[in-house]
Amino acid sequence: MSESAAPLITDEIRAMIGKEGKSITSCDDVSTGDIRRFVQAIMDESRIYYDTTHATKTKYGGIVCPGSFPITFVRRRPPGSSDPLVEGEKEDAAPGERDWLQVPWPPHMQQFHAYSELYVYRFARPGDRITERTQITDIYEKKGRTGRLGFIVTDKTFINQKGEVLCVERYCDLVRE
Amino acid sequence: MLKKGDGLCYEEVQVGEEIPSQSVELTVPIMVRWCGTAEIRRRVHYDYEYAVKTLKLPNIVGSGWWTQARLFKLLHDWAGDTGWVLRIKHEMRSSLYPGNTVIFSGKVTAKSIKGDFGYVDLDVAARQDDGKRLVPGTATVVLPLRGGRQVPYPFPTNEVN
Repeated sequence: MSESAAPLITDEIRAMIGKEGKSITSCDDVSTGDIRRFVQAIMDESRIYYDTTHATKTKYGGIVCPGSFPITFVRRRPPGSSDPLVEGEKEDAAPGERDWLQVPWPPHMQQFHAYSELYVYRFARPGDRITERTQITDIYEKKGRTGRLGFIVTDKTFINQKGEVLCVERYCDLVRE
Repeated sequence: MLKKGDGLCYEEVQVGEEIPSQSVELTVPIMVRWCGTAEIRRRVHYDYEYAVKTLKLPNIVGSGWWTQARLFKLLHDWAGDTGWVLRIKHEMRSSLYPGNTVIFSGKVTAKSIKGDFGYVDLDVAARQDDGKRLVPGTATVVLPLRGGRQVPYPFPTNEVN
């Protein structure tokens, strides 16, 4: 059987479904300064993100963060860790890294990010310490125009220090020939 | 119970309607500010020489997480604080480059009532004004029914299909 006709999903790859990665907890608590910088960077001046008087009167009960805030907040480099800008790290990597996510695809295949699907349940707020828990939920293949396509779907659940779910990002990477 | 004037409600939304779009002139300073704020270290998002000479790209590329956050803003501004932006999906089919105006848009594709609330599905997109680049996606927004109870906060995790 030629390589291109062989199934892409081997038993070894299929066995990774359900695998959980190491949790990553933000090295900082959320501060109003963090929120200010984030909303200024995305140019969103909604008062729920900075006006305590206004935000307290809303259903949120106080200042909150935008829905996708946790995703980048947990990825901050903790104190004492190696500086990727000095040590020439090539890929953006969250502290404590993602080696566990390395699916043993054939080496000639190129990997891309396919989509992100974000479900939001609760906004983070000042004082929250956010943790990301990751699990591979699906791995499948399809036939594309240029050859085989492999997909890996990972659910990243973001919770606060009380264990309350803030959001879930369903992250899909694809590999292709 | 909600009263008239309390914000967007389900009955006001029509399938096929386009929600108010938003546009941003994407510049290198805006992209660099985002990378610094979000501590994004991937050089493709801020290092022009690396992007062009090493990766053979036309320019540095926009961050997908910034696009995601802007799409959330688009929908949250439309739904208001009485609604809830439950889900946003975006597909990284193309990269957005600086020097272009990025237009964030949405169009209602379906609506239905489940329990006490209205669920509105939309197609969303971030595209450059030259028409050449597109980041498509879909979204679901939960809205209160007219005269009905408020969409709860936090939104229950078991309400999601």
